[in-house]
Amino acid sequence: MDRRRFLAAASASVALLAIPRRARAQEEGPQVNTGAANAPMESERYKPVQLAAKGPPIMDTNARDALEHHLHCQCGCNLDVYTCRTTDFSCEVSPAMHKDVMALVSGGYSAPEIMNAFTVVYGDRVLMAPPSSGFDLAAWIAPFGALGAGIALVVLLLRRWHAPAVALAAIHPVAGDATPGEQARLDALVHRDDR
Amino acid sequence: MILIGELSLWVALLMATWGTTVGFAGGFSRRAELIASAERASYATFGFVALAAVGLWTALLRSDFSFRYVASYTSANLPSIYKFTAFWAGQSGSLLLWAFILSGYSAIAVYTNRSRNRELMPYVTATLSAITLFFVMTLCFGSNPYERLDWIPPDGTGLNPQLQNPGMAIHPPNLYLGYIGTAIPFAFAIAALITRKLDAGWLSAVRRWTLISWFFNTTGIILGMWWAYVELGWGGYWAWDPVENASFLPWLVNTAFLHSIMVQEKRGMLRKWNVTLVVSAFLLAILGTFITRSGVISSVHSFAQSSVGYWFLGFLVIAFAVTVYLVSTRLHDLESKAELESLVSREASFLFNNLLLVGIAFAVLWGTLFPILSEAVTNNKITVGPPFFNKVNIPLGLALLALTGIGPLIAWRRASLENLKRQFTAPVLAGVTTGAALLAVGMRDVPALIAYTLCGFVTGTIVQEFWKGVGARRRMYKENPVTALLRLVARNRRRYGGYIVHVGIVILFAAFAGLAFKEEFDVTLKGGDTYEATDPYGNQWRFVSQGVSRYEELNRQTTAVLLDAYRNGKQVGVIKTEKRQYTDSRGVPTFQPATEVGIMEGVREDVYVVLAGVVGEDTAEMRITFNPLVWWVWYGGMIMAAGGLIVMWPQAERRRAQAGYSTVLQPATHT
Amino acid sequence: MTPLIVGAVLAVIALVFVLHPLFDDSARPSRTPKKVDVEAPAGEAVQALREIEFDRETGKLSDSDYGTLKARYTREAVAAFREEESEISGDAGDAAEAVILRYRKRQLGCSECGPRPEADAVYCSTCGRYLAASCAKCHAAITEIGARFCRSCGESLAA
Repeated sequence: MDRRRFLAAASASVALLAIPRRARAQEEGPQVNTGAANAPMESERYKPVQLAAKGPPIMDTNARDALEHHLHCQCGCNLDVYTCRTTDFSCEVSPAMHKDVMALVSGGYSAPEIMNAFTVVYGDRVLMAPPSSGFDLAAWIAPFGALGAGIALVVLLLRRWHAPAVALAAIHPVAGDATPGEQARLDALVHRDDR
Repeated sequence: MILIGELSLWVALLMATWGTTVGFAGGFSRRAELIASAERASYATFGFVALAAVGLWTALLRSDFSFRYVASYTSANLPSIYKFTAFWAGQSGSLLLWAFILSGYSAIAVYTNRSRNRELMPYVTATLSAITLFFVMTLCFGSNPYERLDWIPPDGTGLNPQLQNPGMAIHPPNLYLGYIGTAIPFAFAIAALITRKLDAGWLSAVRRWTLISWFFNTTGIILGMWWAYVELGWGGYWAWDPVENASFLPWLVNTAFLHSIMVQEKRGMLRKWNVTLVVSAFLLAILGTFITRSGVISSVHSFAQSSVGYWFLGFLVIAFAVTVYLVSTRLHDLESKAELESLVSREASFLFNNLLLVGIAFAVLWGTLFPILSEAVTNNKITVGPPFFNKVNIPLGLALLALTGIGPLIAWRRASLENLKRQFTAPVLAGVTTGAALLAVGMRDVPALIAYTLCGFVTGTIVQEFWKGVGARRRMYKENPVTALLRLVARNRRRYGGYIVHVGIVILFAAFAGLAFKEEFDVTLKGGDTYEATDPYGNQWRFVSQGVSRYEELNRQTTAVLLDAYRNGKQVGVIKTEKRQYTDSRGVPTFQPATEVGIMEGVREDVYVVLAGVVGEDTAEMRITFNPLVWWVWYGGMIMAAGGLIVMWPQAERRRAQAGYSTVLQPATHT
Repeated sequence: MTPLIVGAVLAVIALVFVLHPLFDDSARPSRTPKKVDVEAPAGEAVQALREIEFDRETGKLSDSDYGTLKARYTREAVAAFREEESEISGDAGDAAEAVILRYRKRQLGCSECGPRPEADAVYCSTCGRYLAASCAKCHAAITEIGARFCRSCGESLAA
């Protein structure tokens, strides 16, 4: 992949991370109305996740909200579905995703089953954190791996630098040849903070 | 004035080019006249960049919509203060702000070093000129704030409402002061590497500038958190979004440097490591700017329109290559005699502190860039959101907090068992007591319990340090306790100012841990309806809606909901939460509706109300959040800033020798 | 039109300002470093002793390190006292005396074993360490063995 395509891909994927900070993404050029900047896209961003009901609901509202905290809203923000739908006045994606979640909950599905259903439709990007499988496992391993390597390196260095503790003391154990007069003058100076 | 500003940009380009060329030439040929000319060029560059900035400000304040920038970011009815701050609302303006601050910093650095560090200054001047040159070049050719439209619109687009907030007025320049502050240490490092004068001399100048950078970076981040909290409405202050991460990275590396430099001062060790930290802070600041300002991450649309991303990428690659070349060819000069007497010593604890800070920086950088990597490798889009960063960074952060308490207790060179006992008893008791008390009260969240235990421990350490310091002064100088305390800090600002920063850190950690107990409620209320909820402390809250009201203000239409709040049956206040639709001077809506969060602040918790939507005439959909201890984030931040100021406060030259004694086994030979 | 003229004038002024040092020697800043307000040598040692004392009190130094460091800096302070005294008493001396004094002042002595009796010693006669010295005029460290001029200010080092 050449650099241009790499960057384009990079920007596209990472754009999904950004908070709906039109603040920072404000485009150059005078626009008459940016009010509906991403409105046309929204129909494409939302995809229905529907399964036939299989029994009585087994999740309460708290569990449902907790689940929604782990689903990434697809409107282009950096928020989860719960936070986005309860924050953003104009987002149409998160309420739609919320409806799907509610339908699945009342259809008797469990949290892992619902997460799974969403992943099948949207792909892994609907999760708030990388899945811990395949290549994406590297996301989780690398920070701790690097830290482990760092600790190993520091311990190695410390061992190599390890020197006998007596070195400093052994050089000149005898005190100076200060006369009592000089010593008294020095003590007076040291014990007077007149800086 | 506007035209003068426009022309000044080009003169500044000329001056920066001259400063770069002549600075390096003068340095290599050791010709004093060239060096003097380069230094004057850096003053002149600052003058002209300042003129260019004044020109843009004039255009903004006069609402001269013939300029694309003015038309894009302001409108005629925008309050003047926000016309002024619209300077850094967009790409080219903020690049100009970069150039402005950078050239100002350069001029100050050149001036204050006019009779110091003379062997380094030609290269420092030239390196700073080169960085300024890059920004001015980007401004002239990549993203010119003085670009004109071929027609004059009747009114501008207006400023994004989320930027119409006092926090946004000071946060970006503040953060920039921090970011750009890393350029000066970088320039000194480059100069020291070129001249191979890698002894302690260059570090004292660098430490000072790193502190300045650290200070502004800290306050900038805290202000940014405050802005996000009150303005964005998602209920938190930190979302690990790439923009935030970008500002966090240089902070971590600067913090690591400010600690490890003490080891170099006392022991002459870690020279390679310190140079690496200094240059990394700058490269990470540039990388952060590349990630955010280039638009690579913020928005697909602005990236497509702008070539600035490539400019930054190019600059980053060049700067990185030059640095790697210089460091790798100078490795021999950076050799230092490294000896450690004990694994249980102050020196060793600093090594682990650095490891953790850099480890966190790596984790944050890795998480920020991982989506790009993952997509390149697996062609699979993924999200790296807050759950990832929290999971990874909580253990690292807690370990760092523990070291904050451990490090100051350990003696230099080697700590005896008796020394350890004497030093650790009280702080460990403080920590265990805190943890046990919270457990007894009924706190069951494990990470939070660990965090508070550690907070107690670190507080114990800091109090003990001050206690023992005052005691020592009283014995040594026969001072009364108050004088002893004041002089303790005044005489050793680095150590005790640093402890005050640690106090701020403890408060921040305590506040972060409070978020574990955050509670959210999804509420739909008609006028007169009541909602009852229990907060994390077990208090009963009752919220009564006064209904939805709609009215017009200066440049917006507002929809507001008023809630009467009762705690345990007693009315404690009225919370107003709003949605604002901003309009231009003709009444045409601009931007999407913005949230104005209703926050009832408190020392124990904030009640945070977001108006998510209005159904029909009088039914409001809201989210009510109890955010425990958020207040402490802002005050912890203030204490950190105060500690930073104490450390930074200028001292007379002869008093500055605070490293005092050296525990080097033998003097480092400079042959 | 006016802005163009103002801009041009400003640019010309800047050019003159920047290019001036190339044509006029007096515009160059002097290369001699500003004399820093250096504390008397005894002052530095006293300062170090204060901190050693303080750090032991607050548990930052173990007792054995304290003893060694205290001995080292006491020696330095005492040496500085003696130097001050010899300076005062030697003030009225003749030119030859002054040269010797100047030479002595440069020779700081061994960092471990204190001042050397041999005024021209290059290595410490007690521990064999190379004796770093400093320039009498600008106080820059003389680190090259056998240097005849200060590399910082050009002062002649030969007595």
